Amino acid sequence: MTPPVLEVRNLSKRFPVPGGVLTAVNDVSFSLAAGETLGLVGESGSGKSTLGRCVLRLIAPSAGRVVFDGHDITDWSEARCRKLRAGMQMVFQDPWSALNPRMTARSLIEELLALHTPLSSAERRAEAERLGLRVRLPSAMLDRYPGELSGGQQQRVCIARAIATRPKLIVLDEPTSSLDLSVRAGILDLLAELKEETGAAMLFITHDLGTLRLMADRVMVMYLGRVVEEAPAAEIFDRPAHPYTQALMSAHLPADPSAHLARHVLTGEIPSPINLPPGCFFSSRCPVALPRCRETAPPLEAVPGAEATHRAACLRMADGGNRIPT
Amino acid sequence: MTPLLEVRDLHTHFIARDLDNRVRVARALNGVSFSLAPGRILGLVGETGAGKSLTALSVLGLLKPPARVVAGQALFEGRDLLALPPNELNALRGARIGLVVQSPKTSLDPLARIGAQLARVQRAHRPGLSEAAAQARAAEMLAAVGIPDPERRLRAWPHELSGGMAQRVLIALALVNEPTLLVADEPTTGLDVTVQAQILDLLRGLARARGIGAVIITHDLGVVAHYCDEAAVMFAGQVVEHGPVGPIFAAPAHPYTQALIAATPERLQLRARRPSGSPPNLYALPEGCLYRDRCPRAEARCATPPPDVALQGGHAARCHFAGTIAA
Repeated sequence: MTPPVLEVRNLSKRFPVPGGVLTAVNDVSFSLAAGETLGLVGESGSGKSTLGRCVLRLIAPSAGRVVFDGHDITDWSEARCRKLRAGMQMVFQDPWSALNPRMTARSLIEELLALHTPLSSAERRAEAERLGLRVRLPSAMLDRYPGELSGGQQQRVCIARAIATRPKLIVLDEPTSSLDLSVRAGILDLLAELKEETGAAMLFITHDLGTLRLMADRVMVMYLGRVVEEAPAAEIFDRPAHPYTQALMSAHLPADPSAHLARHVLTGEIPSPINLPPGCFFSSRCPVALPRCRETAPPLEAVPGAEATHRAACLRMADGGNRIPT
Repeated sequence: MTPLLEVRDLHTHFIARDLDNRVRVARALNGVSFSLAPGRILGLVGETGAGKSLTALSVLGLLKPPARVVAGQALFEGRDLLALPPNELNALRGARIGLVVQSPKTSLDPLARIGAQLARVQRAHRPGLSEAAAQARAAEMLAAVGIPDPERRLRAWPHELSGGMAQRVLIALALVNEPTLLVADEPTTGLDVTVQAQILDLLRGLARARGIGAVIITHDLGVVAHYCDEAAVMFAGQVVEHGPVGPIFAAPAHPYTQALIAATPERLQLRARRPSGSPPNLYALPEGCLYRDRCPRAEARCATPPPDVALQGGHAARCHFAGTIAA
């Protein structure tokens, strides 16, 4: 078996804030193989974007290891990481703030090639043209500035930049969340094609379960910095094991009035990430929590009766009480 | 039954001069019509720039120059809001008509406690009301929108509230004077899905219990499908299709609605052929159907303005072929 493109072990990220320490990512481990798309889902504040930035070493983790392409890059210097960045790219949620407004789309794409490849200026020009066509931006569009492009076209420029250096890993942080439905469909098409063509591993961060179902091979659910469940995509949609995953799935509104909604309404407050309680972080809102859930943090372990690749962190799986009654 | 709100052929333009001092007109709303019965929930749905929020602002008289309503009527309980003098409109807004806007954090006064803001809205419309009575009613309202420990929350500042809590306070503000019409502009955009469900349940529950007619503006077809009775689909400043939610999703009659529904994640077929293109230029709108550049079945007759074709059960679409194309 080929070694994974990315391996993350016991990663934590803490930020000092007034009044204490904010734990954004809490002891997260996972690995990602070439050609695989891992969907990272969670609500705001669950630490999914912080995790995405940590694995690219855009920010330094507080604890744990990040192994990219066989190299432990956790303690690499910024200068050393920069050389590696040709192999790892990121697409952000808001293309407008990710693109230099004073450069044309063409020079924005060529910039990546100038930084990371030995191509001559004529070759860069031809390659930028090719990349533009690949993301369906015709040549005439490439001479425009970001301000003259629509949101969808801007995101296509960002994607062209992300694939320009043929990276092994692409982190996509909510790449379609700011786009309208019809534009979003075109971007998802493009990403699905590129996934097959480039064979790059993708970490797809989103809060939209519908998008996740289309794109992800495997799904990891985060809540307040911890992974609460991890499983193959089909498995997690059919049989979510963690009560939070169940609540999250049940809150999704499919665009179909005849779809039956089995809603689990949550009550209770979300704990502050600055003073995290002992035990399971979801216990304050969990409909099936027992007193011991507030004392012991549950380990991420195999879900009884499911495939070994389906793991969840819930104490109540042992007695079968993790299903929220409908 | 007489409608609670009836918008007829509303036109709103942005009228400004360019650098050469020529008048430029952006025709942002081009004949918006819909009606809302008491106690019903209408979803006004469409993509960015379709004119959803502009419709609400036009109807409520909240436009700022260079935007101006140039034609149309907005009849609220039989009176045309667009023809009312400002003082009469002010007496309705915040009292008979409640508004919930998208960004709760920027819509609350950061320098006033929650209780003071809720009392201010009441006393603005009922000058005889005592501060104590207004505060008591404010606490009741906070309890009604599901805020725990309302007496204590009256003393809270806006920055102490989470996004979901702030949105609940905005709903309380909109409903405290017992309106008959509620306009909610993207009330749950930006909130987490588990919180979104709670807020929408609350909105629908209150509207049902109090017989309030509500317009929910959203780009999320899931919200329309599960929380609205009727839908009006907007494209380029027009309502291109409207009717009860069931038939609109089961048998959309306008090609734009069909494309929109096909692009929802549940139905999306990756790599399928789908219409693409930009919305029309509002400064130079073409004659005829505004969707025809993107429409897969456009024909010569689409260069003439399409009629509103009535289908069964109050369902109608603005398309030459509305009667003949099935989804």
